[in-house]
Amino acid sequence: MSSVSKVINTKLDWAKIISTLGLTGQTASSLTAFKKRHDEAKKEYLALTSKSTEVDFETYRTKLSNTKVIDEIESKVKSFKPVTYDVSKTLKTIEMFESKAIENAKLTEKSVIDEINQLQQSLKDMESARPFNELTVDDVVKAKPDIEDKVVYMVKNGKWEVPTYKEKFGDLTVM
Amino acid sequence: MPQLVPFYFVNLLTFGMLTMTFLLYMVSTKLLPNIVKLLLTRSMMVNL
Repeated sequence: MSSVSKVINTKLDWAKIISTLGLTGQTASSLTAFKKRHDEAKKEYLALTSKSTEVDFETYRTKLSNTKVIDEIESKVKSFKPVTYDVSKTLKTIEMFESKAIENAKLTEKSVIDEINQLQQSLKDMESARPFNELTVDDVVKAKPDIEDKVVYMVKNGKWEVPTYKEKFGDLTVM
Repeated sequence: MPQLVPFYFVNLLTFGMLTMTFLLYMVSTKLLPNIVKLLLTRSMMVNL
């Protein structure tokens, strides 16, 4: 285990990481999948290390009449050397996974920063907005440009009265 | 009597027509569209 993974193992709080960073989508799901794999591997490792690896050949010798077979097996067990396994391929896969995870995390970070900027911009707009009683028609038209199109349509068709206006604001016509 | 003087009203009529044309143009292109825009904006703001 590398020093980095040791540090991660001791300091990483899996339960907190998704909720505090507010991760969503692919990053969150791959992180959860990674955590699951990590937990399973840890469990398997613990189960295997707790098991005894010693074989009591003396018991077999007392129980079986053919001790030659037991001797042979014992010699084979003693001469057994674990096969060295080339882990470079697995490491490469892990590295690929890591790079992809970093890429996704960067994308998430970028989107979060964009969202924060947008929210700050809207906050600034709200703070610098003029009060309602100082609002002009031009301001409203600027915010909602389809008013201009409606005015053009109404003027072209000779409609000078806005429907439902009188119901909303009353009528000042005397006669 | 000035009413009997030939072409006495031509001047009045000319300027009267010019004024009326100018007024018609101003009202139909500037004043009324702006009023419609104001009314429309008011009702749109209530709808928002």
